[in-house]
Amino acid sequence: MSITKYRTLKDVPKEEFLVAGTPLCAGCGALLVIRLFHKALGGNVVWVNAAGCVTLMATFPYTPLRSSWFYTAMPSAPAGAQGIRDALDILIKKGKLDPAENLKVVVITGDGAASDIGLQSASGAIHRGLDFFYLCVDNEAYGNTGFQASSLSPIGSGTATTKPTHLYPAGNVLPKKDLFEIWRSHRPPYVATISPSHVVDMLRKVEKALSFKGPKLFLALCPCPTGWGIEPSESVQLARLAVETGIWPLKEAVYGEVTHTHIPSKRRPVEDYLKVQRRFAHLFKPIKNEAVIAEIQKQVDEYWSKVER
Amino acid sequence: MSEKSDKNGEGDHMVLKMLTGSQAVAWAARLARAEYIPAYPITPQTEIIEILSEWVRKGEMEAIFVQMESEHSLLTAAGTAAATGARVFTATSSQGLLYGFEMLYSIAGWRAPLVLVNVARALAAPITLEPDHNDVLAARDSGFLQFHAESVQEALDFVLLAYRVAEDNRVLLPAIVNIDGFHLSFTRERVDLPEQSTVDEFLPEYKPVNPIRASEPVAKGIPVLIPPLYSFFKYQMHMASRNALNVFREAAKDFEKMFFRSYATVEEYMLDDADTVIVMSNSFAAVGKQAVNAMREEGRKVGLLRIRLFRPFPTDDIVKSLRGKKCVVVVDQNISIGKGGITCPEIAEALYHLEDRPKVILPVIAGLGGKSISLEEFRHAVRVAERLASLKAGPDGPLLLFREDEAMLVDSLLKIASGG
Amino acid sequence: MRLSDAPILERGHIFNPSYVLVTAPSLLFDPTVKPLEGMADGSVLFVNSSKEVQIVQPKKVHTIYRDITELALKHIGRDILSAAMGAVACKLSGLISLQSLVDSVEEELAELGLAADLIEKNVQLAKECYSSVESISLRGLDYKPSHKVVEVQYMGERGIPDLLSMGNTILRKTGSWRVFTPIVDKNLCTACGICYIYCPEACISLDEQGYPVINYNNCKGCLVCTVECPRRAIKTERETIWS
Repeated sequence: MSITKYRTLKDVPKEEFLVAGTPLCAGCGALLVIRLFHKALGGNVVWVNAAGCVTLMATFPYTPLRSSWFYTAMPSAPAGAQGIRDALDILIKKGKLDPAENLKVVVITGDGAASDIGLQSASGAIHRGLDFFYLCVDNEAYGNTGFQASSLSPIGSGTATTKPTHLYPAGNVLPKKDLFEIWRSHRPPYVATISPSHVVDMLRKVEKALSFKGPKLFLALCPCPTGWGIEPSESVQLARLAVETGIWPLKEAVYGEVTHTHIPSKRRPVEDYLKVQRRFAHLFKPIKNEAVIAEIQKQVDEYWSKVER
Repeated sequence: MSEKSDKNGEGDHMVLKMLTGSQAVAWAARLARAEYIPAYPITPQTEIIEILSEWVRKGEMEAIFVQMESEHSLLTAAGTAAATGARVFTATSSQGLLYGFEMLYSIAGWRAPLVLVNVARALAAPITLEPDHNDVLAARDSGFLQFHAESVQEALDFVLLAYRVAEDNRVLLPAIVNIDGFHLSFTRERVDLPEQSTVDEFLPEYKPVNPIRASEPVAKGIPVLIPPLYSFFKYQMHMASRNALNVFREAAKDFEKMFFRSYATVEEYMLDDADTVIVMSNSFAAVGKQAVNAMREEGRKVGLLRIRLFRPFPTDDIVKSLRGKKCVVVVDQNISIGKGGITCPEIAEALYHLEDRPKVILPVIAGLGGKSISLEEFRHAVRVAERLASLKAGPDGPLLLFREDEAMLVDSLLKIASGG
Repeated sequence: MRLSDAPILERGHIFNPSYVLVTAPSLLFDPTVKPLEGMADGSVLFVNSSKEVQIVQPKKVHTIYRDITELALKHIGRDILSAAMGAVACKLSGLISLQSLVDSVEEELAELGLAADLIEKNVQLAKECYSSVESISLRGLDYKPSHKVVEVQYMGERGIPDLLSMGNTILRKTGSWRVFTPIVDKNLCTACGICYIYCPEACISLDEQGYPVINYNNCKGCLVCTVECPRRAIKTERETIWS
């Protein structure tokens, strides 16, 4: 990246837009992403939310945010963003609203809303070139309802609806949808993956996105202590492991052109990431499921073999 | 086709035009200076959004028109835009209304006033195109105000009235204006098209409550997980809707002064000396009036009560109109499967505690999926009601109106379908 | 769970509880919870806490404090309290035998798919909790109905569910969630600020010299800071501030 104000962790903006006391779980990766993402976004933000864990951030009469928030419905947060964006635009255009009152409109949803029930709405908003941010906090399942599989649950993971059994020893047998590519196929100005472990990378991406008008879409891997079966304290570590094993590539696409922003020099084996999570425990105990682990490793290797260095 | 008229000789010009219902409500949105129109095509609503998109694209309306990817998204965008402070107009129909259904409750709960025209069309399955009122009445519990139009003129006027009532800070609820598909939407009638300046005077600028602004952050639509608090907010919506009765009456007074048309929550047709009253709503009430005329010529004391405002339900006005009558025939162009009509129990409840309540309240189902209602069907329903009254008996479930010619048609079509 | 020889006609909210078990002392002060409401003289309050908590008790209730979390940590190694609290309830009420308790812990946890060793740990925890309290029989609890029905007023714009007080979750003392407390060792800390960056809760701020200051009112004790600190300068201690 060319010119950036984010060089080291010392450059993380000090202003907090999110205060403590939310009802979200201890060690929630999504909460950390929202907090850091907001720092890079700056103020004058309205978050538009679809049903998911983060919906519980603001429950009457409390909100942790110093910014505005609008809970819409599970399938249609991007449409909600459309209404707010358009209303602000027309009111400003007609001189009814001081341009100083303008806001950045940011959709925040989980992976279920992003990849399943709300995909149509997101596609519509991106297609229309809506000037908005979309932050998908991806904990790879429907966390708020008790961790059932979504179409962003990875293959081999155990969830409340893909429990490993003797008939289904791998747990979830369906592949994770490639939401980055689904979004990118619309050729929006900016799409990126981010991780709470790689903070400078995240801040730079938000900084870059701020320079574009139109859809700016972020897919954040968000470790979920309760759903993944990890200690809350391991949350950031797991996000880091996902990057270091190559399971979670950090990349961006500007008008469809993909660049990897972090290429792990020597990728750790995926096993290092899988074996520390309860949702993958069935791949290791009582007997190691070499085939599934090898398949996951193969997919990661194939992905990176196509990435230009 | 249009002409200028100078009604009261004071230079208050109105333009007389031959407009379809779709054109009329589009004109109403334009005159109301709607500034945001999220849209999605569906028969028989589509003409409305076609007209509006063209006006916006020609710069004749200063508004944003955006074609959404579904009615669910359409309603979401409509609601958030209204909550942000834009005056929002939108329209849908039938399956579309149901597809966006959860958002009706959400928008009402956000207390975001906007106007939604529903072009009534019966619901699948079987899928069909012509109207009945199962679509709009499915939304009756949502918190939306509901205006039901009989004529193209009413369609236009109700959109203006709906904005005025919905945006009043004693109400702050969204509104549906219902116009029947085909019979109003695609039918040209003579319409007094109001002057822009008069509409501006009638309809003050929309002043949103707690709009989303940089200087004043707000959290909207958030979960209320505490049961008494949830009850409280729902009761508030109910009371706001009840407030809309008087707000409507006030607005109607102003409307009459400015536009010379007078609207009560209900319309009484030949009711004064009537023994039997047919209750209807929407465009087929015209057919009901025709039947009343015919029966009057036969010397039967029949009248008709038409409900204009369905939510809030104008209980007091209905009581005034129906108390002391012998028979009430409630013609529902809808069916709650396994029960009967939706309007009838509401009418019955309104009348129950009166000493002089009607002897018979006959539930009638007619006109589903655009089925015509003939004079003979009205006459039959009235006869059934009057016979029950003379027998001091009650109805045995709803009366399903159907004619012999229709039965024969059905029979012939079933034969084709079965290859028999 | 509803269980009785006679039909139970209560549903949902329990207006006049005989026994109230509180898993975290902070809940006693939460305006959205109000666990003490409706308790009569002679009813029983159990609080999971190592020491007494200053509460305004409207009635003379038997109050018992035990640190169940400590027992859970001892047996399971984590603050998972369901079996523990269930065991306390069984014993306090005097209605459910130890064997029934053990049977149901085994059955329910097996349904959840827990490993056999973890189930056994929960059983041991339940047993110790069961023996840690005595049964208290209730006699002639005098409930005074205190509910008056009022008319709901129309509140205008205040009756709209918009929230105008931003950033007010700070009022919610989520510090009581903590089992272990992170404590910065000033001797080891280099003021690098990494703990501040990775705190998901914004519970760590930096002082003028750049050293971290932890907001213990709200810190949930996720301990991400202890793991992320490159110098391992943040130690943990068993939580005592809240319990």
